[in-house]
Amino acid sequence: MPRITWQLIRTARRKHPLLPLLLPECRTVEQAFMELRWLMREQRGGGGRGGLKALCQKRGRGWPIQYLLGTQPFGPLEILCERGVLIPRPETEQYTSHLAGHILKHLHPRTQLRIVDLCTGTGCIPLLLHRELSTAGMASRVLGVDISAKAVRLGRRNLEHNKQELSPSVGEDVQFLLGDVLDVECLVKAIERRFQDGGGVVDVVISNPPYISKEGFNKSTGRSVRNYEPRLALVPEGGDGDVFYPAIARAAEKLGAQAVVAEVEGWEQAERVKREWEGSGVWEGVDIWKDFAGIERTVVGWRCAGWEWIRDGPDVVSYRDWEE
Amino acid sequence: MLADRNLDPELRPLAVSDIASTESSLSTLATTITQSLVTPHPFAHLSALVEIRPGAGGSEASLFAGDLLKLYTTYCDDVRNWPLSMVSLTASTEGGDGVQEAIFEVEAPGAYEIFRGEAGVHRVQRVPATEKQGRTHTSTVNVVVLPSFPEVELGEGEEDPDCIIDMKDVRVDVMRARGAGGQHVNTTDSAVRMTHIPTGIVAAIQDSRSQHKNRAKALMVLKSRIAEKRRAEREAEELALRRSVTKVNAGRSDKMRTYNYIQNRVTDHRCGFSLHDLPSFMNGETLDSMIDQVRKWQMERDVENLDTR
Ligand SMILES: C[S@@+](CC[C@H](N)C(=O)[O-])C[C@H]1O[C@@H](n2cnc3c(N)ncnc32)[C@H](O)[C@@H]1O
Repeated sequence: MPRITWQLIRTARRKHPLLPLLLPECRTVEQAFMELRWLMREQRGGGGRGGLKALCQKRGRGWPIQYLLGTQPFGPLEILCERGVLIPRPETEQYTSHLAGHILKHLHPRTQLRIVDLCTGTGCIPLLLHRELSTAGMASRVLGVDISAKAVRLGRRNLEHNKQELSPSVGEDVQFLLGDVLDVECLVKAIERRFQDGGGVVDVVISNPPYISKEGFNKSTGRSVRNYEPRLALVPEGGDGDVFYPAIARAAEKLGAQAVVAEVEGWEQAERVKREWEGSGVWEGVDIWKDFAGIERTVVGWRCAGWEWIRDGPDVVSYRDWEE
Repeated sequence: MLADRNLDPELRPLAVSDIASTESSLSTLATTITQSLVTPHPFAHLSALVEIRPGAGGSEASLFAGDLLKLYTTYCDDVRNWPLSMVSLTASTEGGDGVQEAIFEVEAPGAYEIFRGEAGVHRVQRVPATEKQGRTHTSTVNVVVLPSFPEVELGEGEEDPDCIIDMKDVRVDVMRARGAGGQHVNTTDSAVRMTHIPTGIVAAIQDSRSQHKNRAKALMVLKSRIAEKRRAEREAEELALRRSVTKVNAGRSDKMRTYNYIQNRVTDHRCGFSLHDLPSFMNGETLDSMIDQVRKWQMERDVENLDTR
């Protein structure tokens, strides 16, 4: 990463007087210019130049641009973002689309799929899954669960916000529920109650739980993440990054799920979670998906041989810089 | 008749006036014949995708790339009233209004026919704002103009149009930040790069925060570039049958137009046409008259090619 020199600041100022304000967070003039254009293009409620300047100042201090603009694209959806709820990540976007495509390829189109997303945050995963499946003609019901009332409210608002892009049945098919994933008994009961009307089983449990350890939070998160995103969404209480995974697998088992899919931090945690799930003896097989950057990002388990196809992850397809 | 010494002096003025009117109707007729001889360009009815990149001349070239971008945007806005949408805009690292790359789409039927003559090397001669000794610099900007294809679904038994590609042949890469990714960072990386493996043609787009949208745009640009390449190849083959390809292609890689700020003049080297008011040209006000001349020249060239068939 280039150092911010006087030279760089002068160059930025010559291009646009507000550009230097963005440099502390954006680092390069190109990135700053791009973000300035996004800020100008998308800022809500006008506010004129003064409004824009205030936005640039905040961005320079590390405010995530998604909180400033109030949105983050997620597949074809526009997910509302606000402080207190984690911003959806591109890795999550990738494996969620991949899972939807994979399901469409391997399951009968008349399947009525039931999916539970634990630790749902903005609700980005349930909404994108439902969108991708219904566009291809597959019916699904998806339930998002979160311990944060703010997240549950935002999930519902996101459903409304994306109504245009979603199928008409989404209002009935996608629901959000307040609940504690670590209290498995209670969680399973609440979910069963929601799904009662049709046999009471769930096909897939997916989750992107808080997975960063206390040490990792201080050492390896970005400044903007550390200072502006909710710690509740990132670090499990007690500071052990692995605590959610046994609970997720147990909930999946009790709900009768055919497959369980969970995001992880990288290869070390992926290996630990894989070992733990294999050791439980519940799953026929457990495997790891890499993300676009080649990092072990998702652990998947399947219950019977008929679901073994789920072991294949998305393609590793990335490059570092334009110059490369 | 005029050369006839024995001609009645009274008839002479009549004959002279006749010549003038005949000449003018001849030239109209010639244009009409030219137009009817030359089959319209196969993509003439399409929208245009215009790409601007600095060539030789460093930061001065990227500044002029910015000027050309302004010329075309005001021309579309004020003169044509054509909707123009920016596909991708990358600022130069040098500061100022310089542009490293600009790609925009002019979404109007027939825009390709109007813009295709703008493709080529634009040369600028002027004293850059940063030049202290008042020396004139020469730099160049490359403009590429491609037809922009509407989304088409291939019906049964239909011929493959130029822009159809098999998605199996396309490699899609996304740009990523360094580091652990996932929950650790909240960067906005949404850039997409597509490579058409059989031809090696690449399209990279980073303009939107939405990777989904960048994908759609990259695919559009990729298709246009591939179609243009296929068409150019076919055209070259046809021409090779008629006459030596080199002769016709001369001028393509060469500069096609010069903007001389010191002489307040813009000259198109293909048709030999000059305008002597650069500011109004750079405002887009007189671009139309230039484009007309270039299209005339293009048509004449196409007729020449017909001759040698
Ligand atoms: C990493 S975020 C993931 C959000 C969303 N799924 C996404 O991918 O963008 C984790 C979420 O888990 C929620 N959470 C934390 N502890 C929880 C618990 N014990 N039970 C349920 N949800 C919890 C947080 O509120 C946060 O929304």
